[in-house]
Amino acid sequence: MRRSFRRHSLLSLLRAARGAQPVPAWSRAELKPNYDVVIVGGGAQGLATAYYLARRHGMRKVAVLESGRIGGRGAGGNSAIVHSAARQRESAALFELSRKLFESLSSQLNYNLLFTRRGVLHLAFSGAQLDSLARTADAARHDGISAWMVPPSEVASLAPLLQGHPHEDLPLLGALWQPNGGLVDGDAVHWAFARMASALGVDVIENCAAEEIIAERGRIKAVQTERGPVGSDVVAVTAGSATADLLASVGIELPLWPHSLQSLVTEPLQPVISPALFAGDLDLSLCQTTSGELVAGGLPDPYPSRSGQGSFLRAEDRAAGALALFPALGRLRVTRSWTETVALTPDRAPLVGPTGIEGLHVNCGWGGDSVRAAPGSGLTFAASIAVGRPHHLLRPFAPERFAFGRFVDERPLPELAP
Amino acid sequence: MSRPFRLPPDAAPQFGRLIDRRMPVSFSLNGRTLGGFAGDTLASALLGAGVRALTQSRRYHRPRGISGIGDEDCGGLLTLTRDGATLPSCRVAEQPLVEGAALRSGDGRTRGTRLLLPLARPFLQAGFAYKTFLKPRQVWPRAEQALRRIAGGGFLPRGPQTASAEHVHLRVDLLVVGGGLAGLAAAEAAAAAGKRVLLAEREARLGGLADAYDGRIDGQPLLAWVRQRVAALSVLPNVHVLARTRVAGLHGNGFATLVEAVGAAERLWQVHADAVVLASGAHEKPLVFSGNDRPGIMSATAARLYLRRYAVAPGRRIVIATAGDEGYRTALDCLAAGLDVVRIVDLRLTPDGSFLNMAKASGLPISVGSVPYDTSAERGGRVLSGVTIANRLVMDGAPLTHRIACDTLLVSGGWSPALDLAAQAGAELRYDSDFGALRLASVPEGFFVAGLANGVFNAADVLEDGRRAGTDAVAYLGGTAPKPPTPLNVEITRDDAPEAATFLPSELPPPFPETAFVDPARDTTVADYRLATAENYRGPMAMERYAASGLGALDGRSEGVGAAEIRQAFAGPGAAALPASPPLGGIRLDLLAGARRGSRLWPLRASTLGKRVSEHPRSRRPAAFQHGNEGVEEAIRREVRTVRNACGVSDLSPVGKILVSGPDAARFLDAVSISAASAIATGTARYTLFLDRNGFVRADALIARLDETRFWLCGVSGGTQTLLDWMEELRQTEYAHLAMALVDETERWGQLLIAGPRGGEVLASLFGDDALQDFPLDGAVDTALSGFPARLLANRYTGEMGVALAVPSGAFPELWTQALAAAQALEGEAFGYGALLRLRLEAGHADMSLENDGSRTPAELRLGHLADTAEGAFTGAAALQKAALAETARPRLFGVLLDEAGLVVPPGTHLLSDPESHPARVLGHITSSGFSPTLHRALALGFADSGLNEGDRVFVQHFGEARPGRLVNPHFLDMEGRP
Amino acid sequence: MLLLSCPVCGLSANESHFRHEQDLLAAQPARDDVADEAWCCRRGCGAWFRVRRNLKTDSVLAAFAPTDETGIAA
Repeated sequence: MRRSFRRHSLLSLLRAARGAQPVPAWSRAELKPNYDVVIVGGGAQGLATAYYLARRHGMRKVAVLESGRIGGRGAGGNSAIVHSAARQRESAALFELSRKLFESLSSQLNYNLLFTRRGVLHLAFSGAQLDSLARTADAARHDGISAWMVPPSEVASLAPLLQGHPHEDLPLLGALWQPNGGLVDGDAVHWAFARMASALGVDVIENCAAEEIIAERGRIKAVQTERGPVGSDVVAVTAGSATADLLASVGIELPLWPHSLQSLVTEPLQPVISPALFAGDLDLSLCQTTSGELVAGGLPDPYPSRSGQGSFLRAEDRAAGALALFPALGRLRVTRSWTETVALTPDRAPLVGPTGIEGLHVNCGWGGDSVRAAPGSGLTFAASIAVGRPHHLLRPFAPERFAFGRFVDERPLPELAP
Repeated sequence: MSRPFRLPPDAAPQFGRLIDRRMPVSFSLNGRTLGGFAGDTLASALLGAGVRALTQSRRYHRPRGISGIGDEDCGGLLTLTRDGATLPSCRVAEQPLVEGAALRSGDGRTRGTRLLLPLARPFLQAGFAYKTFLKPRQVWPRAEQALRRIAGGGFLPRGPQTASAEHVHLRVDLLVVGGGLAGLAAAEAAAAAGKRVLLAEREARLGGLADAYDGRIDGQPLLAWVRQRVAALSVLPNVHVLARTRVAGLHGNGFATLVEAVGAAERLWQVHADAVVLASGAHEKPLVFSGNDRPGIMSATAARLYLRRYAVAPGRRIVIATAGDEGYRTALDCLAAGLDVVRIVDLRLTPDGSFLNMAKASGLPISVGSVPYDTSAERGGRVLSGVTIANRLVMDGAPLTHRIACDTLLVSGGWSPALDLAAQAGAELRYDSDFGALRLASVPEGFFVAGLANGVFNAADVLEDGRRAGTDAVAYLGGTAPKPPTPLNVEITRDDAPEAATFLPSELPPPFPETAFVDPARDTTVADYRLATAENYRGPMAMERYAASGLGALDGRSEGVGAAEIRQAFAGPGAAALPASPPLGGIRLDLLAGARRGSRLWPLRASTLGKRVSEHPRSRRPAAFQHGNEGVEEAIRREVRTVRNACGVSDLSPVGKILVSGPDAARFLDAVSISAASAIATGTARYTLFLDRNGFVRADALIARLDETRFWLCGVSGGTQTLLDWMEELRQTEYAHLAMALVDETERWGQLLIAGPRGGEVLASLFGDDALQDFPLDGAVDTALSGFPARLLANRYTGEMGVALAVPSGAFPELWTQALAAAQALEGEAFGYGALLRLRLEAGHADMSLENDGSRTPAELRLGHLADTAEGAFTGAAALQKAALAETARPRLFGVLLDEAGLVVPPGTHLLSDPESHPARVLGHITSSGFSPTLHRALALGFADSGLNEGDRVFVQHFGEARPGRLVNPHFLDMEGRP
Repeated sequence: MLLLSCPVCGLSANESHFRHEQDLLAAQPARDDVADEAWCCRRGCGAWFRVRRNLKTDSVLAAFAPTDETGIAA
């Protein structure tokens, strides 16, 4: 059952300018007592999953329960960097699927995700980083990912602000270049999936916190929310750092830790950097948004916390790293810091798959990569739920892998481990 | 120089208190030279010189001027160059005027945009970017580039910018934010109780808004009283008073970051306070009406302060719109300054009180029950030309309006407490409609609010509230504040009750909601918020971002004053409060980075020998000792040949060394390394690995047993710097019952490696002892050399017998000279890190910094035989039992020889199965490679999946072609250095 | 920023003087916002001590010296 829905287009803008009544992006649906699938957590993962369940598997009696509001969260202001680099090929495959989907997702969802393909550069300032990136580049070649190593001279032409490297203290050795990566608006990703899912019949319920999971005899029964119980045979928990406590309520211990992930946002600057940059040696990611601000991010804080207050030392590290790359930025003002609480796993790869309770699935532990992974993860996760069997791309990420010593090692290189 | 808006020198004496007319100062704006006086800020100088339109807004490119005097001013983000230093943005109201300052506005490209954008405005409402540029696919990238140019921004400085950036740490009992009347009172109360107090005031002078008011305290004029109290506070030993210091963040748990302006530079204070009093004042609320962002529209209290402090008139024909008595105060000041106040527009329906009467008595025309409704401007929107006021008492139909020609509109919508810092610290804010502003619903422990920030809007009551907060803080900290000897006698005219000016007079919606600006800095309007709500973007952050279409920048304030009210009006109380995060007002990157600039980014461990730096920036070991114009690779090959043919010496000083001593030292090493340390005989050494709890190799080392209770660990290839931390942790947590100690000896010893077939001779000649020519393969000997202790350790890293010789660091340079001379006498030479790695590649040894990426087990590295399972469990043993780590399931280390003997493929290259079979399967990857001068061919080490064996064929992709090769035993050379 | 006090030597400073246990598999996942973790007094005595901390407020609830029997089991 499709809900009424107004297509976005230049024409619709014209009509709105002439006074047409605005239409809610997603319906303010009534919470029903039962669903075929209940998704707990209205972040990028949950919303993408709901969309693909409805779009590709015709499952519309689906609810997404979000404790707050859709969108408006996320570290780094709005910009998430979309790229396919990862240490292990299993992870890279999933991110590449996501990236490919992003290329046509705006038109598919009829919502401009502001996906700008400005390319992504991973810079190497140490032999260890260079070797690791070279391995990623070579794997990329075999796995059909368009990414390759470039020498320092070419780096300077892709990011002119880097001219003048190598500095004696920080010699640039080379970089991994992915020209079809770029930036995407995190909020837009949330809103676009929510809108289309809702149009297809999914109930997107805001201000509905899940309190407990109810199971009986090893089978899922319902989710207890602040608005009462919601029954279902299939429950998918995509609640980020809140996932662990929810699963604990039904006796499942997940190796997840909440950590603060900070980004710094500067005041707007004339366009100076086009591609997004990563510098693993400096624990830094840097990009410039459409409105001119620089967003500096990196690894999560080294100790667990749910306070939403990042460690100030980390902010100092980020600033020092950014200036090591671009000393000219010194007088630029950081106007805002964003701290998000993300869930980290022992090997820093996500937990995706069924749990010991029949009908209960999890998809969490993305550690800040939630937006760039959302389309790929949502699509494969929805398939796993609908078909009843983990999608082949998701099998390495099964939650029980640690018991067998099967790590998907996405930890930062040993010297840098926070 | 014309100063059209500067009061003449003979104006009333209460105006221009801070400027010195005898010292004119000149500066420039976009190349145009202007003049001001010493004591001016850039803002007052610009206003005084008649500059109204300063910048243009980011989305709609509407001209904007200076609308305030504090941090809420959004009209003034400009690039400032002065004394050769460039600031990509500065707040003109906060920057003092200095001679030669050059301002440049960073506006987006305006080729026609100023004409086009008003036409395009109906399409540029909230969320427009999300709704369009969808088809065709090429449109968005082009549109995005155009948007980047239109948005504009600050300019980066050219040339090196060195600004000193000091970090200061301080612990206090109480941090008082704000040095106005309330803050001073709170600080006094706490200081009197003996607490350590830090008082931080953003401006150069304390007193806050005291100079905007007239009156007396204890018989003294306000400012004089303030000066006296500040002087008294500053001399107290337990009080720090910091002026020009802005609190940028209250991070929770009492941690605060403050930015102090020290001349042209800044200093970052990191303060731990057990309690905080927030006396941060309030922002004067603007009113929301159509066209409320034009240059010439300013806050009424700010205008009054510009008059009093800088003798700057806000305009010539002035209309004042006010919701309380503040507007009247300003009107009376304008009158005293000889300015023309055309009308006072009072929002209140039945105002009363002393100010109204004073105004009436002065003959000022007043309209009550009226609001500003719309404005008009000329010269492309740069100069205000008139304001339309409307009658609030409308039953239905259009309101009664009346246009007044003016060039200045001063607005006072009441006060909105500045609570951003409270929100940062974890306080809950709630919109109070009786008040018309956000107020605190709950505060974290140890947090107190005073004065205007606490909603005490009457200047007369502010002091008492400050004292109350100070006393409460003292009680929280434990103690009592002594009562002051005599009660304060405060004589300041009390305000009549203001109207909780519904920021958006709900009975009179703006005629053009798309020009009724809620947050001018981000160009968001009432129309945007209305649309956002209607489209169901109702979370506070979601509304803000949607309203700005994802393109809005935040310039250091968390939001426009009053945006909270608009949000809650449209989307309910839950949408009022925004999550706030530091820094407030911004912190420049170089200030944040502090001393960690240039070479101080990371601590470095370096050896003083050698001139070329290795590619490993963390431990600066020379890559090679180049001769003449040799390239690095050439030098490496030469050094390798020399070592294989004769001998060589290499500096190993940066490598980690740890002394493990005590009766239980052996037991400890048994448990933490994979070998049985207790089985090592005195005077011998053994190579071993250390695992983490997951069974992965963490570091490798040589363990030398010096005697029964002392072992010396010498790092070999990597991970040693963290090894000591790891061992110390294990020692204290799991092995606290063992009697032993760990000592880091890395810097205590300088160490060099003597390698090569004639290495023994070098050793012998150094010690004058021929017996040393045949140093045992696993020897570890303590001896002496030239009166210094010396330690010899057998080291087979390069594939044949070698000896590591260590002496105390002070004696090392001398040893190096001697050893090098001895080697050269035998046709040897020094060799660097590059040659060292190449030699070990020939030997086929796994190097922990190359072969190990953090998830390798010993078996994978072909070092499983080192594990001594007989002695019981070692750290990581249990993990190795897991199914996925069983030897049969894991890849293994192999040597890789390509058919093309001269082809060196870089590390990271993958090994493939036969490309004829589609698709080619990935079988593994290469971890290190190089050309071997000894074997005259390229070598590589890598991992290949389980199931593959020596002799199997593999392929690598090189420049698009598949090159064949085969897997071999990694030990290309045997122990004697033979293939 | 965390403020920690070493129970062994008494050093009371912010987190830059200490080091957190890095091995995630060894640590217990936090329940109900309370975590038991190990910190090293890096710039002080070098002792590893246990800390019980509220993750929601980042405030330290208790700290135990390594030899403290009443503390959390290592």
